[in-house]
Amino acid sequence: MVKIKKVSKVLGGIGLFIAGLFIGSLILGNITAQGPYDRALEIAKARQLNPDAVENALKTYHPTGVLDEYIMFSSGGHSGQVIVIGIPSMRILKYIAVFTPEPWQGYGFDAENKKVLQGTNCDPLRAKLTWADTHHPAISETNGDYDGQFLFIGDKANARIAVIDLRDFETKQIVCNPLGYSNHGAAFVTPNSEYIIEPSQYAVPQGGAYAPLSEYEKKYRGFITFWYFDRKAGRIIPEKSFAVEAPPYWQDLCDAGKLESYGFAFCNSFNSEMATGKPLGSPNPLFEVGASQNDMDYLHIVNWKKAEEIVAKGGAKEVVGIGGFKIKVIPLDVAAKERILVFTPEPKSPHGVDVSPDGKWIVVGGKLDTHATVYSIQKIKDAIEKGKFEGKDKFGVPIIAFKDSVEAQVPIGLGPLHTVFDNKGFAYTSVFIESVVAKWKVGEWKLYEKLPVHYNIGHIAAAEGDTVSPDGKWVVALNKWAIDRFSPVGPLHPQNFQLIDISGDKMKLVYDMPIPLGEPHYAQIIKADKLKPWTVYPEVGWDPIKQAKSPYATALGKERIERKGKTVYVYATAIRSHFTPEIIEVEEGDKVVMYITNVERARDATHGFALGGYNINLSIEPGEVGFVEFVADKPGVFPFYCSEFCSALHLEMAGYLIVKPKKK
Amino acid sequence: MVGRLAIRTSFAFCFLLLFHISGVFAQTREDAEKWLKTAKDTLALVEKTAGELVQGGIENIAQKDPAVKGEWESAKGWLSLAKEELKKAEDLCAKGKWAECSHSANWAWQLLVKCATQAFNAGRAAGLK
Repeated sequence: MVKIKKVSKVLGGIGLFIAGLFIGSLILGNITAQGPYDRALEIAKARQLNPDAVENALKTYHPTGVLDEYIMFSSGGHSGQVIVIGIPSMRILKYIAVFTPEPWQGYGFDAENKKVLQGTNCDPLRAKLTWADTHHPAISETNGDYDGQFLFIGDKANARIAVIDLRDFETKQIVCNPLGYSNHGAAFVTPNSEYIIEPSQYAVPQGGAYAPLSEYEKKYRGFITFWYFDRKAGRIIPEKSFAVEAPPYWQDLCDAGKLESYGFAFCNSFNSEMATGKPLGSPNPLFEVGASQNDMDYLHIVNWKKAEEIVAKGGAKEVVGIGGFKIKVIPLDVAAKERILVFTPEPKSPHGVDVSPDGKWIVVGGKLDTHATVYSIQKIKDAIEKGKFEGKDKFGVPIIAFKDSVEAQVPIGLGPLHTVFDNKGFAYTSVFIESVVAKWKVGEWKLYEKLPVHYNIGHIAAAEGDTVSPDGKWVVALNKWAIDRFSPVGPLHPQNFQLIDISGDKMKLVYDMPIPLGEPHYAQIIKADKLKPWTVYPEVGWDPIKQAKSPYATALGKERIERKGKTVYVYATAIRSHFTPEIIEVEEGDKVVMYITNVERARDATHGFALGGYNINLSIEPGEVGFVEFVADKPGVFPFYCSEFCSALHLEMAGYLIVKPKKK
Repeated sequence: MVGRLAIRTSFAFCFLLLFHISGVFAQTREDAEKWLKTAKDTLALVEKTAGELVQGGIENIAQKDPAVKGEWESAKGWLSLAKEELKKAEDLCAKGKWAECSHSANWAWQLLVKCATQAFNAGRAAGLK
């Protein structure tokens, strides 16, 4: 009996043990089974990512098909293009061809956009350019807010301005400034895009004339041009534009006033010394010494509304400039006398000028100073109204005393440049030498925080940051040097755009984006839903330059070849997967004019047209009419084909241009 | 952390002292002496900051990290040029050649600004700034 009890106890114990194991395995099984984020945590651990890094990755990652909240338009620097980037994903969406031929887009190869590239009013020298130093894009504005309709951008190297239509993200016009060859603060827009502002940079004799440097003060001049923009036509009208003549002080960046400062524009300058550089063997100082001798240069305050009135009353003279093109210019003495142009001192070779969202404050970064200097528009207006000036410069321009125009100087660090704003009353200034973004409070004039960036920040862009109503959320540091941020790719390093989250109390560096396409200078960030681009052209047979139906549109079944003397007109269509006609026969020496209509209506159904031997490649988007003309001066057989992958039988979308030799 | 703050604060403070707003200058003795003082004060500041980076171990880091080395060597190069130019400026001022002295001192200061830019980058790349 005792034995049975003992065995029972043992068996019972074993049973309890087994049960315990079973229950335990159930519990443990639930704990160790993979939760939804466990795999993510494993990856983070394997990649040695700390929680901050994981948070940053989550802020920028966009699953397939999810679109960005903001779009950034950045200058493409020396590429002569504009880069379109999604924020916060930092994905590159497009390079808009502007001043440089771009074969994928067919820009500079289509007969119509070749004319765009040559410019509306460009002299023969500038009409042949194939590069540009694009600097400052400006989105068109309505009541001081980005309206997403147009984009403007300047070419510093050649004093040109381009107009880009944001319905199809394509360049429609380039204008050349007849007064000189360089600009810098271009482009900036007045609050309803009435005008696009373009100041010169390196002073030259007006209109492209010759004068030796010994006559610098007498003959060299700057200009601040106000290009009239006809929004309905989508074009700059040079005949309605005007310029204000300025002293040869090397004008720099500009910004237009808004709200309280509406009607004014503000431009820096940094060579009030009028240094003329150092010829070999000369005792003259170098430009970088000569142009930084003075503690102060002049902030140019331009009353463009008054200038407009003076021009309307005939107060401007018509200057025949470079290439014989004309522009109305308000002479310097008139500008000074009428107080259209007034100066106030600004510290130490300044670079950036930025107007606050309410228009009350004008912030200047003195690149060799340590402050953001804040001017009050109220004080400036009072001084002008009362004629309260401390004197005049050599050219008779009245000068408002520094003490009568400045509101505050915020000490922020070494090498302040540009300032943008958020929606909580903060300003963010880029600080070049120290490589930081400095956050300070408007009104308090107090520095709150400095965030290190990598390296040597130039411009800074904020979401809706140049408007009357910035969004906050994001700022992008446009850094000049990348040094060690990315894998080495030879001695020429990319630039580094760094995305910064400004939504919290502290700034947070979130993402590094290499830019290996020229040196971008400035960028603007717009809410994506303000942009309404087409995804196909509105009708089949569309002329994207005129933004209307083309008279050369060809419907399916109406394709034809017509000979008129020595010119052969080809009215063709393109559809998956053939061109009609596929065979084009001409004689040596014929001029060939081709209109190719892409009759597709599906998104992304773009066809290319590449013609071997003739340097031709078109990009014909759905609905578009592509236009090419050339002289068939070489006898032979030249294949053409669709150069944009379009369909399963894309390779079969080809044809032959047969050029019969001249009869001897 | 304190070291980084001290470096930045001392740099910023000295730069603030160096640039009071005083209007447009002619190429006078006053201008030349002002530029000479500016350059000398900046040199002292730059050398102090460079010393702090050396104490922070930048020479060792530079031996291992080519990016840091590039920036640091560049900073030292600019410093050397700045000292030469400053000596030249002092000689010119001693001879009463005010315009040349002013320009030379300005140039020395510009070289120090370049030195400072590279030093900041070196320190940042080394994790010291």
